[in-house]
Amino acid sequence: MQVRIARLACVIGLSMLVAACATPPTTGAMRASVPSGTIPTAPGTVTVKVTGGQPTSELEGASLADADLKAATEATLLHANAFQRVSDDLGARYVLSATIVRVPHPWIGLTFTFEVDIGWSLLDRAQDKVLLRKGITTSGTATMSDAIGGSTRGRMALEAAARANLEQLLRELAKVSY
Amino acid sequence: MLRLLLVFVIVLSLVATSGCAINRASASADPSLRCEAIKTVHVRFRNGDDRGTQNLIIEKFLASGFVVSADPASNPQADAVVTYHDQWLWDITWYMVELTVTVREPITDFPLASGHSTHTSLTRKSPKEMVDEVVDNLLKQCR
Repeated sequence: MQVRIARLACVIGLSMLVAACATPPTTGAMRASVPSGTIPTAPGTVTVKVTGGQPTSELEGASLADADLKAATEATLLHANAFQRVSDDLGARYVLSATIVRVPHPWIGLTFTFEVDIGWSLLDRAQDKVLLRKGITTSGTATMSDAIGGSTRGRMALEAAARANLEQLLRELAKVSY
Repeated sequence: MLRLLLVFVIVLSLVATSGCAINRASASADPSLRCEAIKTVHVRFRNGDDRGTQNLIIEKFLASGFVVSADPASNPQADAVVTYHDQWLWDITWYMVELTVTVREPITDFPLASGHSTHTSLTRKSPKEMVDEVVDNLLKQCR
């Protein structure tokens, strides 16, 4: 009887290890570190708009939701001091828009690699001018050494891909002339 | 009997944790998409594509009336760049479980329109059917 229970536990445990279940990414883990070099501070308030995201679901595993990317983007911009203020103010001078492209996610495996594909655009309302327009695709990988549980590994891979995307965004913002 | 039970539990566990009955087809477009300005497209090769997905996408865009170029050739004059991301799973045989096709601005890589389909094992489609569904939905964004 004990052998049977042990076998069942092994089977269920193995399934949990290799399957990508559902845990949403966290803002803190997606916040990008500031790349080397100077990022100019834009002279005004920015508001961040995100579309195209999908909430994490139990069936399909971790996914990037609009609210999650918005929070991580705002945290990154604040941390990098890229704008004077970050707010939801409708009258903000700058609008940073992100369009998330839905990309296939890993379904099963020991190593999960997520891709995050986002179209970024920065509009200066005062000048009615698009200052930045760029599609950025980045990937993140998590292995068994990062986490034993499949759901955690999936989330970590997604967070790494989103973090890399925001780091690339900061590099692009550093090239903008305000 | 015990072996049968074990197989049942394995199958049940994998079904429960990997989502076996998902059918989805969607597409979206950026307001800046100007379909009438896109006559030529360049299909970029995706590293690791060893199942011919790029060729299926090339054939679909050709059949849809576009002038098509593709990697490894370069075409800096193309009106748009097409990228794709296919995901495959094994269930008795290999099948394409997910496909995303994205139309981008050539220089900025900005995504102008994107189509995506998911069909899991029990309702799987052939790679050609997947490409047809995704690209058809993508091109509907022009109407």
